[in-house]
Amino acid sequence: MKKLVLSLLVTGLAAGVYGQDLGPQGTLTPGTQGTFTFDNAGNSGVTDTVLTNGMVWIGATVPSATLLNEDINMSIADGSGLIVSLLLSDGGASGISWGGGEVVDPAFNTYYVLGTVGGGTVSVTIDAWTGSGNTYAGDLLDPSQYAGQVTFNLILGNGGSPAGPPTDFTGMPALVLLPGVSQVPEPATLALVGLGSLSLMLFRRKNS
Amino acid sequence: MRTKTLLIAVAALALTIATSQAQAVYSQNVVGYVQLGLTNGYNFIANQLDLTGTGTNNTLLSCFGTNMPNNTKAFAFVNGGWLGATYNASQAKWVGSATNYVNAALNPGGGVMVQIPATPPTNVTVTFVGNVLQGAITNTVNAGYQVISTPFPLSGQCDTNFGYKPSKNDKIFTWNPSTQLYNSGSIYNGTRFTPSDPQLAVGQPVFLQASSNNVWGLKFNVNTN
Repeated sequence: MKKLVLSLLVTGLAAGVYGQDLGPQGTLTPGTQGTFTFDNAGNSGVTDTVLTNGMVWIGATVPSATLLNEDINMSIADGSGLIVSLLLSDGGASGISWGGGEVVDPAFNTYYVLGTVGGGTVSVTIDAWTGSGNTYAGDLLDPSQYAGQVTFNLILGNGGSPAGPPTDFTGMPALVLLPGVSQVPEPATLALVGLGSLSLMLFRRKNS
Repeated sequence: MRTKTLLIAVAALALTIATSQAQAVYSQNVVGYVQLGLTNGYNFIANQLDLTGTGTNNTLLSCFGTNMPNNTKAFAFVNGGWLGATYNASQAKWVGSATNYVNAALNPGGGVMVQIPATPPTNVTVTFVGNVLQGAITNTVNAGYQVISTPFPLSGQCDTNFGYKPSKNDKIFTWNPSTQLYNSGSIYNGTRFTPSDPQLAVGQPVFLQASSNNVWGLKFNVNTN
């Protein structure tokens, strides 16, 4: 029984890799934290493979992806959890697409990242997905929807003394949304799934 | 009785004409003052009155006088960073190698960050006195970050009232001295600012992140505006 629980736990962890730990991190805590605005306006990466200055693309495959021209859901998280999620379901992402692969937070808020300092750098992950679902993970297995994810180092504003203004997603790589089923699991994910399955098989053999 | 009334009316008319003619020869210079309250910490302010009417000769001393708290600092945003000068109250002068940059940022159309020290007095009122510039003035906007303001002592919205025609993706941020943070900004989508056209008070500059080189042409006339 103990082994079964362990095996299920490992398998569960593997499945959870796709999802983000959307913790209760706040979005507006004045202080000395680094700041940013949620936008890639002004980015000019001309292909869907650029590593900085990236635009948002959508398509069946990477080579055939076109620049995004429709509103989508987007969220950003750092290692501590969710910073902000802009959703179509509540109108928060209504107008997020400026066409031509540019996305801008419709409210153009300034966001503060807890645990950082002004002018510092933080590793962030941006999730993007279509449809009415509220999570990126939900679209990954839905072939009728598109989803994409990028991770990069975000240089934050509010640095220096006096402080500078918030920064934006200039450092973002190209973000490509692909159909749900075409997502390729990461090798680490496959390894964990395999490990979990193997444990289950061994456990069953011993019992029989 | 009628004659008397008529005479009075003629006299009044003559007085009016004389007055209006006299007004025609008055100087067109308009002098004013603007008072701004500064608090402990950073304050983002613009001087919109001019010392000589040329728009180029304002200095820390001409703007702030000699009543600032000792160790008050003033910063100009130059080439992507802040450069400062410090006020030495005992010598009644501003010191620091960047003083000329800060002086230049105090000309109408610019802006400075003023840091009032934590030691009393922590609340200071500055009074800018000078000429109200009039006519057409062009502010040069460079791609990238800069501190900018209207050169006229007016309140209003950047696009609607001040005629700033931004480039797509231009961003504007204002400063909140209460929180010591920038307020959430506005971004231009090619047609309008979102979420709203920034509202500025008299003496309030903005941090402008311009997506391309541009010019901000403004016109102001005391009699017609």
